[in-house]
Amino acid sequence: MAGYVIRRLLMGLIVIIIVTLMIFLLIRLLPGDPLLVYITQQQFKATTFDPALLEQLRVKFGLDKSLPMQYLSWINGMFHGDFGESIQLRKPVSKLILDRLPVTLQIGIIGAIFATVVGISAGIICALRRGTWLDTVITFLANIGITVPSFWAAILLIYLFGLKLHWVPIGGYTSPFENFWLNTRQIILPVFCEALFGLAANTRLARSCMLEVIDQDYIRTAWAKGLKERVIVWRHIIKNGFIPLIANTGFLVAGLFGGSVIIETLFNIPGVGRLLTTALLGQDYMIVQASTLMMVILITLSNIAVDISYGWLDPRIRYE
Amino acid sequence: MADSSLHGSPSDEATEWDMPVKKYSEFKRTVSVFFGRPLPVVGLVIIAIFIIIAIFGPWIAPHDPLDMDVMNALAHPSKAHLLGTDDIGRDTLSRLIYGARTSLFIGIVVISVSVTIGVFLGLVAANSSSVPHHIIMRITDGLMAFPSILLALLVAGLLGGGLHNIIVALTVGMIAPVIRITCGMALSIKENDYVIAARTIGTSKMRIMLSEILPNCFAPILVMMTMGIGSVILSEASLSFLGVGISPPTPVWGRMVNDGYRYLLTNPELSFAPGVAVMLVVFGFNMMGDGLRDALDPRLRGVV
Repeated sequence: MAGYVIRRLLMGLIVIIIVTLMIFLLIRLLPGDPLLVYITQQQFKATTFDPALLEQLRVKFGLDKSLPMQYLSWINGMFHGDFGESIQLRKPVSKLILDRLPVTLQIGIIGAIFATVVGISAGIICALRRGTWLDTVITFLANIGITVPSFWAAILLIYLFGLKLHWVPIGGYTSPFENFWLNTRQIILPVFCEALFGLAANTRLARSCMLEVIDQDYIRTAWAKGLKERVIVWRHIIKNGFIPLIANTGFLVAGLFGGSVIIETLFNIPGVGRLLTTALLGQDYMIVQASTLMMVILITLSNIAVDISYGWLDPRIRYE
Repeated sequence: MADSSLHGSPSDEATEWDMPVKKYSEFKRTVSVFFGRPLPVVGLVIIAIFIIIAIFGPWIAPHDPLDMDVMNALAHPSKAHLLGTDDIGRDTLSRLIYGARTSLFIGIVVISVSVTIGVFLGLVAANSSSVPHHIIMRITDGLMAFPSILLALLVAGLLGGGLHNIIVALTVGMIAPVIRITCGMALSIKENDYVIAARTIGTSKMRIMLSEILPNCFAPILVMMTMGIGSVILSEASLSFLGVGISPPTPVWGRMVNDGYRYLLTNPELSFAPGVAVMLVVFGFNMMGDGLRDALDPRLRGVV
């Protein structure tokens, strides 16, 4: 087991190194100069364009050095907790991200729990009651759930619960420590919309995983020797059908982070997703590279955690 | 044919081996499984309708999608404008119809490009020695660490809008799973006896790859392509919703939802209608993909 864990950690580390290279090259090699954007915005009223200022800013942000040096100083800085300074906002990127991370994590974690618990339960119910009206309805809803664009579902719910029924505010965010009740009302819709795809995908996956187990010989044997339904369901069906579902948790986390970009922008929530979209549209490289990297690292870490628990649950996997 | 003559023979003494042997056709079986259930057929019909709409758009659309009838801006659905008009008086239904062209075009192009490149790289990775294999697969791991929408958003945001850039961005976002699935399939096919036999009689690596391994990857690739078009259309809608998609005034569904959002209270149909279109198309492709998978090879459940 220890060898397996170390192997997974090393692979995760390699992935993270590759990702830092990808992000760095992607941002540097593509067209567009963030300093030009910045200067044209700042000197909006000035009639003359000052090349000296451009040069000065280039040195200040370290953009005058060669690409490998820029990469190394970026990595070196990160080990010292320095993620660079935002070109547009003139603030340290680490502070910008750390201020917003709890918001994204609150919505993401609640969403992940919601999608896992509700999705898997619904899938298990479908599998156990295969062919009944309940199965048909839930499967149909799940099929809709994986096709609905999350931004559109959000707009529909904002229209219904925000504008027509006035049950929840249509956007914004308040810290739960400040006003817990308002926070709850504000995050209900974002959590649901962000988790919608994962919820539906989990339901479909759980249903087919459980159905696969139900047809196995050992389940028939369990019925034949007269075990109670409760014992068969919990100890044989769910325990065995659960393993592939755990593997899906990694995709779920990735999906939630991807969704946060859209949902936070739509609901006007000050999280990392919205920071990233705004920075991307304003070509603020430092924020884009740091926040993307942070998301990818969190996703990779959750993937490692998933793989380790997977290897612990199913010993066959450790020896592959 | 021997078949019919046997069948028609009046002899009552037909023994077991005289019985007509029905020729087994894999293709017929697949078709009958596919059409045997309602959802895949519904999906196929939806896709067919949207393709017809996309092709014959200019003849079907009641108005020019770019024609601004400012006097009639934000009109509610009526006989003249079945789904009303947007804030500068363009006919929503016509814009929806033209949007179908953009969405389907992008979906099909992106999937064709990413599957071609992805399958090629996947096969190369599966058939090469350790160095190219590791380079391809580690880059794939790196790409898979990103949520695909985020990767597409990054590339699109940095390249800027426009049809070509969106196609590049979405292709980058799609390609990694194709490589990984193809490589995995190819590696497991390689262990089959017929591949070992081919290698034993001295068939070249290239030939084994093209005539033994590739045809056997056909089923998962087809399923991947069908479902992939749906998810590309969904991603494209998300990108254009965020404002990094195809530049206006070209009608695209995602941006239409976003443009209509400002008038949600007075004209909700502006946002609702394009969302329904996205949902229907994606639903169609997903259901058809599900049906194809179950018809071609149910063992692919959970793989593709």
